[in-house]
Amino acid sequence: MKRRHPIARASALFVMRYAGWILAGMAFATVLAFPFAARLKLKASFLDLLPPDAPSITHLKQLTDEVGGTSFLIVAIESSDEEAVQKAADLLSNQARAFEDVESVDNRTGSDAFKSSKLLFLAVDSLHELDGKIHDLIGFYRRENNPFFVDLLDEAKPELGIKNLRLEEKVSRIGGFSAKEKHAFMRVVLLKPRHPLSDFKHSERLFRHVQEAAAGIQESLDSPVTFGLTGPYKTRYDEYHVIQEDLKRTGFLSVILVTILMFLFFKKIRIVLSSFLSLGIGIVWACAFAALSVGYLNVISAFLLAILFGLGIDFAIHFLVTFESERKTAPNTFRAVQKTYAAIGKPSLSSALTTSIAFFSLTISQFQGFRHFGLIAGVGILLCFLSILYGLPSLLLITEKIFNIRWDEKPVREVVPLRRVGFICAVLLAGLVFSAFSLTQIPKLHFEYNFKALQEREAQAIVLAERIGDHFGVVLNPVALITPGRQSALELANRINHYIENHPKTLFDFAASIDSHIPKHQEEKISLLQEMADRLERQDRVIQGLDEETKEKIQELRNELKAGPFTYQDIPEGLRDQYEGKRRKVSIVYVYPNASIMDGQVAKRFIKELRDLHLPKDIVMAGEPVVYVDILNLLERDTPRAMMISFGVVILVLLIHFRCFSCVVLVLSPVLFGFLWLCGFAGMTHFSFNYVNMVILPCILGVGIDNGIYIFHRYRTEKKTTLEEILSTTGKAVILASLTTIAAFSALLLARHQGMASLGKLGFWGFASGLLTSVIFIPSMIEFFEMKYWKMIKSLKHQGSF
Amino acid sequence: MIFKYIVSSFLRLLGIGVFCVSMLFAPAAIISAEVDSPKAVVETFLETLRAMEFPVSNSARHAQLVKKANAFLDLDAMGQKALRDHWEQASVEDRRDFLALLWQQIENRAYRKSHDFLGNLKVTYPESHEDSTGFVIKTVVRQEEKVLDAEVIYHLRQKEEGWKIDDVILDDVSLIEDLKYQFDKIIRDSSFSGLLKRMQERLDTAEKENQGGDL
Repeated sequence: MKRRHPIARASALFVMRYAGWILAGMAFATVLAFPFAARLKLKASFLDLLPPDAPSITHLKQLTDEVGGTSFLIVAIESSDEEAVQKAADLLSNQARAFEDVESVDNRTGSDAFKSSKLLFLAVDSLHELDGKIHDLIGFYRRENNPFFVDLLDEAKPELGIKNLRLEEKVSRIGGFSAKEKHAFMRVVLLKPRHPLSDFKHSERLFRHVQEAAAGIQESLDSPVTFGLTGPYKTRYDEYHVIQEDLKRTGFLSVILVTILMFLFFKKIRIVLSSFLSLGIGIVWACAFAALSVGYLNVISAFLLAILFGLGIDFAIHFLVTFESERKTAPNTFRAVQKTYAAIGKPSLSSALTTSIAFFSLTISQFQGFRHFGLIAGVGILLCFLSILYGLPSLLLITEKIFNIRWDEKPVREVVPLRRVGFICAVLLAGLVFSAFSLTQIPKLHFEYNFKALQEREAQAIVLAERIGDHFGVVLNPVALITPGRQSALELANRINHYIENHPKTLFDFAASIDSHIPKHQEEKISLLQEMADRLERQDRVIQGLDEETKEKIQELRNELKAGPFTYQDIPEGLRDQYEGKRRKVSIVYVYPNASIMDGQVAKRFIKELRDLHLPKDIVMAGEPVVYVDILNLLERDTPRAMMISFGVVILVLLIHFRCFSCVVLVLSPVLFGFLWLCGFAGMTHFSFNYVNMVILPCILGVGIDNGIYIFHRYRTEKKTTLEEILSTTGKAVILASLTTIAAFSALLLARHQGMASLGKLGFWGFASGLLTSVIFIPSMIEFFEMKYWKMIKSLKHQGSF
Repeated sequence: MIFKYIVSSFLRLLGIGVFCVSMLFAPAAIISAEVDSPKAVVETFLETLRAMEFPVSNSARHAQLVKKANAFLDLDAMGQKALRDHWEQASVEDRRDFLALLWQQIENRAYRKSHDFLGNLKVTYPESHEDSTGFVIKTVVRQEEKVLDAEVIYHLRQKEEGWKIDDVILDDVSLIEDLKYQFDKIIRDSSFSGLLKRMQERLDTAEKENQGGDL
């Protein structure tokens, strides 16, 4: 033993002699690390997933500097009383202007100029249509009044509403005209906050202020009015909180499940607590490293804790299972620790190294999310490994001494190698059949590009956002094109709108500049309005005989027909700020998509189409959709690349380590078959991969490789060639390690956030596949080859004919 | 004395003769005596409408009044004008059916509506004048409750039988134009037979309503 495992002996001696010092050193390091770890923040903004100097990020910053970004907090106000809705919107707008978190308020139809010039925003043909409606209405009542009128047509009373008439510019739909939908009028007030989307603290304060103001307004109005909040600020906040709540709930459940499993297996709370404590120390170090190296966790590296917990507990399990086994036969604790180090030291180190190298290889990606994740997870794994390798035995020894604990003497069950040909062949056949089935499922694998499918089910803010979109017929996720001035913005908007007219399949809905808010053909329209006003004037006698409701409508229309010219100066300040910023140094053209960019594929096509327009060099394209698409492109490009590189690096490390290709194949076989079976399960259950659950793939890879290394070590180093032998110790550890991971991910199935739930599902199938291939299929395959070919090869070798 | 007797006898006989003659031609005499001017036609027409009762309780009296009112309307001309080209294209049978149905529409539907419209309201005749095709009588129906005066203009044309109303205009909307609009639309959508069918359907409904329901 001394000759074969000098490092194991040295490590065991080190732990035996310095257990107290080791723990003291670890405690000291933890005390030092803890303040840094505690400072580690989560930056939930997806902007932090790209490098700060990425063009889309710098352009977005420029846009934010100029006009405060493209995101709003949208307040939707609804009531069956149109006047109440209008009044509530005006009251809220006035109050919101005083909120400390609000940069500007866009209640574009609240301004007097807009109100009095409302009809000028209709298209000329719609004004003619309105004229026709007036004609029809008057004609209808005149016919009704004619004592000799013979009605043969069953004519319905013509409606005088202007809601269904076509607006000259689609951009006017956004809050432009209060429309009735299912007996409710809706108005939206757009609040532009001063803080970024990811500043949830300020968002929370803003929501509170809006809700307080809304409550006051509701009390002051006679008709019931409802207020709803939505927009990126609200949906992002809600998502963040749902994820946080899910993490708390499912995290707690995961820990409970893992603790129960550990306790059921080891039946000693001291062992469970020792393993959690040593792993916890490693995680604190990893967090401190993250704080010092990167400074924060992004939405991808935020899964670090779960991943470190999942992979780190495996080290502890392998150590404890072996230690428990060795302790029963070893004469003393030192020998048990030494034999444990000898048994699992090398595979654990190989596993830790390959997994961390796999994670490190992610750092070559341009995608900040992967780079940070790779760096922190790579170092974190090694730190957890170290803390468990030395911390766990030290804790066990110290607690043994403190509590004067003696290990139970249990008879050791000898594993008699049995060759069960029928069972092995059946397992192998079933595995091969399922593998073949899984191959057929690969073309059926589906990737869910729609982010809506990842959100909380029936999330109120998202449902409201969709209703608003449907209500106004505009998708409120424009991309901004920053131009140097008003004239160039006008020309660019015209050019894009012309392009839209000539490209029916385009994903652009319309382009709007500040001039889109100034009605066109005003002279012609005003003249037409005057004609209508005159016609109504002439028919005053008929009008006076109508019912009160119709008379009121006609009177309202008469007021609107008095519209005078609407100029650039009449555009409300809040709206001008959106296009030209406070400094008025730029002029923005907003290009609106005609489909929801919550669907990643739509978003990518939309941005590509914009880029393909080859805009002049002095025009900058900016906006969150651009950043979002850049992230999707990088994710799609770098995920397979990162996986391939990780896998390549792992193969290389294993080749260097084992210097034997077949060994590497054997080590990798559980993970290869595991991934294949995962595809089979995914295809069978119509499971969809998505941008969130892809994060777990490196973890499945890491655990799969771990399993392979332990199984291979058991088989090759310890010459265990039957399924039963392989599973006797290492298999138990692999099973327990996998079960704890599966249990942890199963808890995520209860998550409200669909992305998290899908993560749980993928984790469940991934680790379950890995478990089945590691402890059943591959050992059966080993035993099968031991039975047939390997024996034959050995005998041929022996006879010298090989 | 004898001369005086002869003269008085002659005058008595003449009077008797005149009486006999006048008795002989009484209906025509009454009418011609009352409606010898366009204004009188309109006045009598409106009074006749006002005299009707809805729902109809005395069918004989109602029929008499309808007949009287009809005599003031030139509905055949109004129907032809409203149909214009369709009249030319229609068969003799269709024309006959159309006019019969149009009369019935007026008798069963328009008269009731006009009766309701007039109610007990006062009608004044502020203006009347000749035009190139006949005579125009402007009437104002005073609706004090609604602080509203309805101005209804009757256009009359001289026919052999006397003055007859050939259009009614309320607030610039001519009855002929309105009928034309409706006829055109129905014929365009469902042919001339469709128009006859629609008119018959309306008539069936109106007849039921006139027997006791509301219009």
